[in-house]
Amino acid sequence: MCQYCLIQVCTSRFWFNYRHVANVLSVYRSVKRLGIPDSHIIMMLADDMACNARNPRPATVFNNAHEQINVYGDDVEVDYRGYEVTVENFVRLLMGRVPPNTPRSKRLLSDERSNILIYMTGHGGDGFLKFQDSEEITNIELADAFEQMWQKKRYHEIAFIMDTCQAVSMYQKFYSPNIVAIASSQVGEDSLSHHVDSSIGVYVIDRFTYYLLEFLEKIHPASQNTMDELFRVCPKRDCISTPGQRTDLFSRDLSTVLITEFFGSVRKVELVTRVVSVPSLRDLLTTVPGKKDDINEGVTLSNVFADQLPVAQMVQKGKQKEWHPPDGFILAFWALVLLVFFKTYAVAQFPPVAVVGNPGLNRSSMEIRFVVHIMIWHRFLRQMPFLVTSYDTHGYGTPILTRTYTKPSTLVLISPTSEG
Amino acid sequence: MVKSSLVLVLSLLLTPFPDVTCRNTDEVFQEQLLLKPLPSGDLVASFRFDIEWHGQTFEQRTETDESYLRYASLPREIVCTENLTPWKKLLPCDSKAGLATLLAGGKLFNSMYYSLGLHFRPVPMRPDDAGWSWQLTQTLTVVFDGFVRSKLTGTNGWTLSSLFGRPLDGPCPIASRSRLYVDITDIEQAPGFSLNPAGTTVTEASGMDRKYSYVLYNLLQPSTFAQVKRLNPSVNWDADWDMQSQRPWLHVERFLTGVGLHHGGISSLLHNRHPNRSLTVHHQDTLPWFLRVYSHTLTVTTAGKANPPSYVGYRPARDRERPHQLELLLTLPPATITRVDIQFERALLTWTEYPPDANHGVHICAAVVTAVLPDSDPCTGLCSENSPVSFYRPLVRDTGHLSRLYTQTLLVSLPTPDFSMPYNVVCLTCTVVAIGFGSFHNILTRSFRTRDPAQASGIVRHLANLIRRWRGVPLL
Repeated sequence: MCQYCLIQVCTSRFWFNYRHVANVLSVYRSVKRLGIPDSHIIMMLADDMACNARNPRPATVFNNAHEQINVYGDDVEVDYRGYEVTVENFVRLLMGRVPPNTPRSKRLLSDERSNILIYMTGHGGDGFLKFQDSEEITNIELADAFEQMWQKKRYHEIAFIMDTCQAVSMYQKFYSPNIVAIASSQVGEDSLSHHVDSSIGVYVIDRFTYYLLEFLEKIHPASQNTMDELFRVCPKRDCISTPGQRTDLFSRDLSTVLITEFFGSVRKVELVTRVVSVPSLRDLLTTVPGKKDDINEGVTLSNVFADQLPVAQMVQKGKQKEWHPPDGFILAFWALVLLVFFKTYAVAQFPPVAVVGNPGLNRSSMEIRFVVHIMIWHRFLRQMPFLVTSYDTHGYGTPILTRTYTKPSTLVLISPTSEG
Repeated sequence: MVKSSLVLVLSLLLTPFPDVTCRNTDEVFQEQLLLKPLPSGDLVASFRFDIEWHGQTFEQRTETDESYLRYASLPREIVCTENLTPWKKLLPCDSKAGLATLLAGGKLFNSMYYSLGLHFRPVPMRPDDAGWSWQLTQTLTVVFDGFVRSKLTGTNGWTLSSLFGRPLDGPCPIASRSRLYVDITDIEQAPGFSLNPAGTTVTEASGMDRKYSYVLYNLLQPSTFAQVKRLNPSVNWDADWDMQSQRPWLHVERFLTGVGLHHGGISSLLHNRHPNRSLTVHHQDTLPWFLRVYSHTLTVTTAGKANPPSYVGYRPARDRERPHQLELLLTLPPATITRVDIQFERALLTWTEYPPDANHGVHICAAVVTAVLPDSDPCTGLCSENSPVSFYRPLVRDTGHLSRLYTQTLLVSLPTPDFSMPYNVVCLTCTVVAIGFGSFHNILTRSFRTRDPAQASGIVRHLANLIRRWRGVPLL
């Protein structure tokens, strides 16, 4: 059971996305330094950069052109690697619905007291994050996954950090309590990478993560820095994109929450010399403090738990639902209804043109048909309303109108003498 | 070119080992490192860690029960420090003491070839065969690039710290056997040969008049660390010495043939280098279902002539259910090369079955070639007390050593569909609908009237009239 868990996802494949792996490994190093052990960290790397054939320094990943720290290190443990990093595996990991033979290192063993830090990096867009160049996870799916986690009491608080393009869109749909989200760029903005290592030949770190790491390097397990300092970690002049954050779902004031409550595994330990007597569970169950009624004698454990986490009080605001115009199927359906309605209504308004042909001696019925077609196209191209009624002549030129929609108001006669 | 392979073979071979040496019931953990220079100038380092513990006794089987044999193979696994870390954690001393301190990722993976192995099997206890114990053997083989090193240092030679980045401090305290062997068979006659610090020289002879010489550093003996605090053997010899290395009796290669993305073929070359003994080998191949193998195209030729196998076991694949399984029992005449060919056709997968990097291709499992090699195999040392056990080979009926070789894995390019087509279709359809139907719809449902254009403001009209007067067109 991890009380302080870290989930890191690098969703990009291919060598030129080296910086995403470097992002993830750098945060991994910082978090390990602050005390979270490997058993509480789930790392998903979609591709291998360290032992990639194109890496001039095998078994190393650097996040800086000076190449001082090998963030890959000697004791890295990657839980999901290569093709295993898929949207399905990620969502299953979050919700705990993994196949029964999944090893322990690939499970998120969190409970209702866990603070989970989720760091995701890769290529993203407005409302989605791209996984491995072949699929994507949308912000709605992510929000629903977090809600399922909340319903199943799989987290106490989540800190969600996203370093992709248009990252703010990914947290806009969250609706579960106790989530604080930080993103590296607004909708419509790109998150940029920081610098190139010319000996490796690729960008080695992203801007937001670079300044985040600079900030984290000053943190040690006893730091008193608070989470709201993370919002100011990368001002626009450094990041070029505008980082965003979302704090309305978080119940506590972020200026009182320490960084080490998410990034480190710091527990407050107080040494006491006096003997503390802990009441037994039976005493806890039967005597609820403050109530002396006999009715509450048999209060069950579930009631006691529910009081510890008063959801109704924590979720202060209602869900902010913005109205969006309908899209997709509903729009097409109503468009079809309107189309049919207007067509039937509009058809009745047309001044129809009845074209009557008289083959006679000089013009055959084929000619008449030809002329009729020309007239139709003439009117069509000039965007004039027209309606064709079929006609027929019986040999001797007596026109018979066989089919009309309405009473014709215009009659065009084609006779041997007219010009048509 | 860096090659890597992760061998994770969990094959519970329940053959009895009637004549087994190199082990007694007291030994629990043994570690060994064997360094051997190759004729190409490279150096191969083989680590081997044996852990043995007593299991419960169970019925000894007197014959191989085939229903207990399972075979599974993963064609491609990227091996890097993230594999080494949990592998090292299985060692009793982790990487804190003994030979495992040399396992640093940076040097190990910056090499020509590396291979991590984990072997797990029950072995009979000695001296009586009533009980069984479990044995976990972890092997790591690295081939260091000699060309780069000799150009840098100038001579042909190496030191332990130049290979692994650090010397040895001491053995693993709980090891019952902790040894470093340097194979000097090919270089001890070289001019300018020097090796220090001096260790125990172990010579062993096998049949066919072959002799092997090793220098043994026993890390458990205090005398090894008496003169030097840290053991750092260094070997040097003249660069122009031509090594006459003994080549193994059996050698296998496999490669793809054919061009294009439709047809192709797989060829295996089996080399029998024994001068006068023919070898019987078992060649086993597992091919995925989407390589549609045609068994009638299977040909086995030796030196141009047909060499029909004594047994062919073929189980064809079922699409998306099971792969092809092909087993051949071949007799390789002495000093010949036998070629096994088979043709296949590539199938198209559904577009969701392709991996994310579909154009990379798919990897095909290695073929497994098993043979009983005659006693005098140069690749094995005989199991005497002091000799290195480069790989534990069970003896089979006193006639030779069981040897299992894995060929190269193959990379087959599959014909891929155009993955952008769904996007293209959506764009095109939407465009056609929007333009075609949309304009038709507009014409049906709208009536158009002309409208007087809005009067431009005074200044604009004045300017426009100036231009119009100059042009000679009617004024606004």
